[in-house]
Amino acid sequence: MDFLNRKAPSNDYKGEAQAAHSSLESDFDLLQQVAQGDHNAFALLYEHHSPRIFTYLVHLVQDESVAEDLIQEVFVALWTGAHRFRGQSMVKTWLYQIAHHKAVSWLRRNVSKSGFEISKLLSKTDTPEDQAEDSWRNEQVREAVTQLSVDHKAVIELAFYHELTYTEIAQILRCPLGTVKSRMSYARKYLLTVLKTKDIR
Amino acid sequence: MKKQDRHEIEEMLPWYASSTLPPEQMEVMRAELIERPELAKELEDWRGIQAVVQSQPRWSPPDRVWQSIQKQITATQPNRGISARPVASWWAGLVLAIMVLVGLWYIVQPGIVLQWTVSGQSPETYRIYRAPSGTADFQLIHEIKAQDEISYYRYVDTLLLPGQSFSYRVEGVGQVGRIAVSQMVTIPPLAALPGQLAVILTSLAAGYCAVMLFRIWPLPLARRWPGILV
Repeated sequence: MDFLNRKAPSNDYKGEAQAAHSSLESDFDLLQQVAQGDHNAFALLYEHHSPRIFTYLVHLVQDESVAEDLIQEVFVALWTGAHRFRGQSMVKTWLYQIAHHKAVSWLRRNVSKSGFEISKLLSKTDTPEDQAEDSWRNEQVREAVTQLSVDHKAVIELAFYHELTYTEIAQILRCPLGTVKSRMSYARKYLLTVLKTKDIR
Repeated sequence: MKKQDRHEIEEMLPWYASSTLPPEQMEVMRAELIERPELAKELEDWRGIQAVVQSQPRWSPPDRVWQSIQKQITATQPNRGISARPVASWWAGLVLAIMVLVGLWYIVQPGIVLQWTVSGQSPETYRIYRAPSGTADFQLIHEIKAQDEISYYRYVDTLLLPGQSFSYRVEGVGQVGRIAVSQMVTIPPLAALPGQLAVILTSLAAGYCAVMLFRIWPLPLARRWPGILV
């Protein structure tokens, strides 16, 4: 089976972020202005970061309406807590950290609401033709990813969808580097086992 | 180049697949993959998983989210504290530590205390001499003007470096010259150290606390003029 050889489509977060922010300092400067009550700076930070954070939340909690509530909490937390940011990480990493914490808290409170419709995700942007082209195997892998625990799914999402380094992921998840690597390794084993069970590989 | 073990290389494969390793590590990985073709299959698996993960759609929050956030932040003003850059707060802490050190040094006077009483004929001045222990190289370090109604005198030598033993001698000097000489006192090398250490550590602790407080509750001055911190 060659689905694993398919070339990864590039996501455009990197280019967009680079265009929007020429340096790390610009985010930090914007955040300092937010700490002073600057609405324009806040709007800029929202504009630059909300798509990626919202996508992360949707993928993690698997519910768009919940993600809408959570992203509001994330940016309100940024507004009220901007003065506490110490510049020890990137603003982007800090936002992921808040979002991850909010998502995990929500998932802990709502463990039973874990049913997720993959078709809901696909219906967002994929045309019927795209869906037809999208192989059944890929759906199976995607479903297997959604079945991972939040800790393992977060590592996979952050590494592959958001293209973050393992150091950044460790900061976001607030865990040692070794834990990030071992979660990644476990996630692969799990996915391969699931696929083998379904006779996909 | 340092040879890495297989496990270490395996752990790095996902980040090699997503090209998010530092350039030098990417280079190491490339070399390892050439040398160990058995890892290619594993890398292939990761690339497949990456492709599927990346094929998920990208989401954008609807406008109503922004509108709702705007309502919430209009009702809640941000905490107007300034996030001082860490370097600025450390400098502030250092300055405070030095100020506390100078103040405590002046008040507590950690050092060697010399004290003596006078009876009978009182000299005009007392001269305090110090010499490295075992030598006769006495240097005048201080003079105290004698007063008629005072019979008790005290001097604290704080300008000492630990690790050296000193001898002290006090001379009473009148109009016609030396009237009396005290016995020579020798002080062991670490006699002043506990007091001096206590003052230094207290100052450092005060400076560190100031850094932490500075970050949690920024100064009103800094709120008004943010530039003062950077």
